[in-house]
Amino acid sequence: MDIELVDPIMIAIPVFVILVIAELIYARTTGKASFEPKDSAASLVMGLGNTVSGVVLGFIAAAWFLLIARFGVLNIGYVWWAWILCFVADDFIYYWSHRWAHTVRWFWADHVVHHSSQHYNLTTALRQPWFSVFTLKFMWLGSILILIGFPPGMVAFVGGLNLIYQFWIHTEAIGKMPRWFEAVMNTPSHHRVHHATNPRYLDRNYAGVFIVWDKMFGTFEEERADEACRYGIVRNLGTYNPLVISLHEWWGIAKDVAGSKSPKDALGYIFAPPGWSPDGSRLTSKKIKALWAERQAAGADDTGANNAEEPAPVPAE
Amino acid sequence: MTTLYILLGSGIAISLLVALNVWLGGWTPSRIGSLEVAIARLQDDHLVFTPGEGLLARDSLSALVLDTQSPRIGVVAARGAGFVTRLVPRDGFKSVEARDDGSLSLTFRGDTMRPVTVDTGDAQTAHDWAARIEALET
Repeated sequence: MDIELVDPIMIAIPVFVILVIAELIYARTTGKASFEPKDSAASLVMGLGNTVSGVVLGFIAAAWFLLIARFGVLNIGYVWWAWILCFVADDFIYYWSHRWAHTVRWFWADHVVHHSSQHYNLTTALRQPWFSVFTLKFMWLGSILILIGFPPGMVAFVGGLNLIYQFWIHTEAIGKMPRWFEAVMNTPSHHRVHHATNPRYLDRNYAGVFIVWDKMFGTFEEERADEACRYGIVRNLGTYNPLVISLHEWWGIAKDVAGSKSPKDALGYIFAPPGWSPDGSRLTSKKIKALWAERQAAGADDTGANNAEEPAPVPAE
Repeated sequence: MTTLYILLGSGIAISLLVALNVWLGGWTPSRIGSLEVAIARLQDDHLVFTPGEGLLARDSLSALVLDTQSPRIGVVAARGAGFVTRLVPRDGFKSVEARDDGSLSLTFRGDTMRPVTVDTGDAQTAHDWAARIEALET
């Protein structure tokens, strides 16, 4: 038996709007956050377009989930403990999905949209892709929980809660949360690191709700007081045009594939990490980090100290 | 029809939020304070960049810096409250046009970077930098 569940994101939208207004006022009065009208407009239009495309995608996803629900190994109903288990399991899957969104160019082409702002405020949370349907991620990632036996409605609901949680962490207005909270949960501080392009911070903190996944799988990085985050992407766009924001990486893949010299190269351009090229002339995140670490080590040798390994974390509030 | 109303309402809400942002301000248009700032930005964004001779536009909205390790030019452009940088090889420039009013217009090939106009101050400097770009090895 399935039950009727509301879409939590639709209920949360008015709260999102109120919080954006509050952060705008906070930015104006304290100078501790920044908003730029063109950037805000681009992010909000991207968010609206994502909602529209989500309606289309929603029908496909719902049909798919209902189709595969009959093949669930277990028959887990709407019991109280299943909600908790489903929420945690969904966040675990989110971690891996998000990690691959940064390390497989096909998925990055979709996710890059969210990282394309050089600002970090609550509107950035709403800057979401229009063409997620290209990736078909939901077909296999969203299916796992349903194939285990969680009801499709429950899976969709906890997925919505996960996204709602991630809204408030897109802000510079909050420094650090209490230590116990920072240890377990994803926070504005952890997620600022995720949005930063500093080599030290690049491709770190993939968590959705629980930061423990990053700590478990070696992708955690603490925000440091002595290294401010530089937001955006390695090659910033310099445009606020939503269509360019949406399609630039897909277009880049198409051009690279069209110009590739072999099927192997073409596959590399599609599925290798962003920045991969057959001759190694471009820089992947891994290469950027290695190059940076090399320089840090060389600098440390010159000065006789190695500051790179001594974190200076932002003090807890 | 309901969907249309929702879309219309969303459009109005977005416009109001952006209008509020314009009214409240809370951001400062970026300016490149000095050539050193431009170089630092290029070095931050491109780890493989070794700065050579450079030029800061009179309006502080753009800067050009030669890379001594490769035939590329570092371009820094102020965009909104931030900066956008590129290391551009010769074939990365779609057009390079030096004008007699001292401005140097650059457009880029296959890139999301919008055109940059560098206010060099005088025609000779604009022509010199245009020649440097044209002379980059391909």
